[in-house]
Amino acid sequence: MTDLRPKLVALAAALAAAALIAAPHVAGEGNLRYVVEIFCVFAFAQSWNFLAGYVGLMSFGQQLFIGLGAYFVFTISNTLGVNPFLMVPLAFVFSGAFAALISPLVFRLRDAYFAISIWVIAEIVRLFIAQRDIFGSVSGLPLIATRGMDRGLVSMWTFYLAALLAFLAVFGLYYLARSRFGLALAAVRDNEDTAASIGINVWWTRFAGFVIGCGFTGAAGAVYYMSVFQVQPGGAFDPNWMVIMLFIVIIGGVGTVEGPILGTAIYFLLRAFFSGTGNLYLMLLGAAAIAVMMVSSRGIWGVFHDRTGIDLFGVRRASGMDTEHKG
Amino acid sequence: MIWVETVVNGMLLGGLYALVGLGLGYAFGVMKIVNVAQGDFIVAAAFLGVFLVPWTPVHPLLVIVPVAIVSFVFGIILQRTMINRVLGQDQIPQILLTFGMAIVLRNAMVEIYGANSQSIDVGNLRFMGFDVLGLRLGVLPVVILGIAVALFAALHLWMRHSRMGRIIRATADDHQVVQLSGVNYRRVYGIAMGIALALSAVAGVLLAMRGSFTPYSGADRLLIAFEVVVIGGLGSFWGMFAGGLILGVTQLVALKLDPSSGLMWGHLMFLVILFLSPNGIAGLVRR
Amino acid sequence: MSLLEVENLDVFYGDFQAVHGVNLSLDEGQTVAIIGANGAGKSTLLNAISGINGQKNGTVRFGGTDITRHRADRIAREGMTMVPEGRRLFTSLSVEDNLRMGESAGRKGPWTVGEIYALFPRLGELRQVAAGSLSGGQQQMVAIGRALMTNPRVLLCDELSLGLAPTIINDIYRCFDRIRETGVSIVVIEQNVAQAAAAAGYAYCLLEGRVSLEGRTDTLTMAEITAAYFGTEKTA
Repeated sequence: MTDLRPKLVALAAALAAAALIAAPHVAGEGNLRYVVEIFCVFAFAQSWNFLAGYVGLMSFGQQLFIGLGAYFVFTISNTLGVNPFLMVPLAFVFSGAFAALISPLVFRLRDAYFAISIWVIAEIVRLFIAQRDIFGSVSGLPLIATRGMDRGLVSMWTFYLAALLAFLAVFGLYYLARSRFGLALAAVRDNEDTAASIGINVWWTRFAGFVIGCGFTGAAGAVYYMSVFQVQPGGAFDPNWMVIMLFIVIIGGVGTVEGPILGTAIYFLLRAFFSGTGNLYLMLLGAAAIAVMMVSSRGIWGVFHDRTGIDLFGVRRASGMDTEHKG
Repeated sequence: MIWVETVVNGMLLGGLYALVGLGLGYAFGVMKIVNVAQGDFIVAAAFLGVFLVPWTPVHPLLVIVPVAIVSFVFGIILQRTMINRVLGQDQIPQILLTFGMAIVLRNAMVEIYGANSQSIDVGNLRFMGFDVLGLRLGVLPVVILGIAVALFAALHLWMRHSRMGRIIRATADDHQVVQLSGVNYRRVYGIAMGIALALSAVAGVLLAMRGSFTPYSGADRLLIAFEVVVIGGLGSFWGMFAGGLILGVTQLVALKLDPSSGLMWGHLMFLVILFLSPNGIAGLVRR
Repeated sequence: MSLLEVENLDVFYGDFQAVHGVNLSLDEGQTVAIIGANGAGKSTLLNAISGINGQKNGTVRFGGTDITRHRADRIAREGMTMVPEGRRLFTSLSVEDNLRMGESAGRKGPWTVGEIYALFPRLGELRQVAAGSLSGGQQQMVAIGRALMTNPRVLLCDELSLGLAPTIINDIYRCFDRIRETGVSIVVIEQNVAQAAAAAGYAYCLLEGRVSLEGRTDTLTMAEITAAYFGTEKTA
């Protein structure tokens, strides 16, 4: 029997694209802004999921790229008067280039040490930006470039960018994971020695994955802060971004396309119910992460898949997450 | 002369930084696990110190003893009930588990104590100073450095010469095979985590005596610990001590030159050393 | 009743079953050999009996007690330990510290550090040397000594001859007589059939995780063993 899934996924992609294109014309501006936030946070989480679950690189410093992408677009479009929407692809390039620049250094470290080294770099960049007047120091930058534009148009294009990110975070990841490059990433993630023995360049494969993942985070960071017209170092480089990304991916299931979709939905539902409780709500996120790790490190989608065998996309990369000895 | 004093003060601070890193490095050395919640445990220990100081007899400094004991027991429980259960080939579950703990712990502290800055009162010891070779040094920083050095030396000797130290070293080498000698490595891991947290707790209390802290200080503490361990070469005892000194001196010298961003230069120094030698100080010495 | 009885043992690594329904028994004072080709499941079987690895179905009885679900450290304290494949010394510890690790089992008996040095005099001269810097043969001596220091009733030995020169292998097997004198029963894994027959009175041959032949080593013929070893009995 042939697998119908690729055709169904293509159909789903077409339907999703049509719905997203139509959305700004039917939904109100307030709803759009909320959806933009959801899409951006989903894109953050999915890029972390890509790095941890598909490339095999766990970072605790992805707020670095959120901030870099946002500051890149704000600074360039404010000073040069360029349309910020056109700068978003360049935010991808800029964040990716920054990732490429630091990778020779951080790739020397493994696992948690790799993860925290990026956090250290995020702190350096945050402290650096907070000292420089050109970046508005601690109080940050407003987005001036959109002030002359039509409000409805701005919110529509912001939505389209966010929608594109979310679309890519689902279907882009799906096609990437199925590509030659995606298979090379899987091979490197599962076993470096085996990957090298079948002719895969381990360092470059991982490097390319890192650059793509971080670039994507940067583009999403740019769109997120464009949607709120203001960026500050304390917010853009806030380690709490990591908490949110981790929560979404862990709860949903790392190394799956579907997991973070579920995780994002759970996150925004929890936030809607508990946002008034401040710290209790953050504690809840942490406790949920602990609980998932104690029960099954593969998250809700992973467990659901194990129980039912349902696998919507067929590109899971979670096999390496099983633990060796319990108790 | 002011520069000599800055460097000396940086070394006094650096000795304490080394102690901040020691707990993290020790846990990594024995179990290859990285406790991401270490920074927040350090802060929690400082709160415990604030709580216990009024009941501490003789001198407030002695509060490190009960805090260390409580942390030791807590470390054993934490390891045996939670971390041991997620250990395996894959490092990710363990790291994410402790990350979750860090979030819970940090926000619980904010919830209980608020975000205000706190400090542990050691009476007039904080303001006492003495002159040596034309330098003016604080008594408290010198005492704290003494405690740090003593703990490094004590741990080193205990690991070398005691029966339990031998068992821990063997478990670090091969936790599967120690079982064939009748050793339950899960129990050894519990003790190792107890020691790691006790050391971190002492560091946390001493930091809170020298300066101040908030429930959010955990992230900074973790980064310092992490930098000390990586600069030191992942698990090398005296490398970590050197790593602490380097960080302390860099921070204070940079604060003198650039009062607004001394912290940043400490982080940059870490990157420079990582760039020069992937294996930290231990790697530099070996070459 | 045998000292060690293995009944109908299956061993799994995840979804993969490496050992199928093995029965094996070892009497007090006896030496038994397990032979078989690479990948026949010998080490998997021994790792499962010692409790160090693998999920198992079936029963392992030691001294009359069911120890199937006991952890490896408990089994060692109860008096059965293993010399693991590849020796796996604690490389950062000295020779003497490696030996003293055996004391952790808390069992009293004839074996002390002094007795080990009497058995392997060379180790006495190397007592302060880091175990990682020893030659292969010396490392194997330390590994045997470390296991003996737990004063076991049963000693499981996984491929003692792995990677060693023939003269050194002979030296190591020569010490078996002394070990048996102290009342230790032994299970050895050997790829070398002649060596196994010389060391053990009874042998099991494993093929693809199953016992393909067993019997007293003085009654088994070379043709039988070859057939069971390579699985060629139909064509041979």
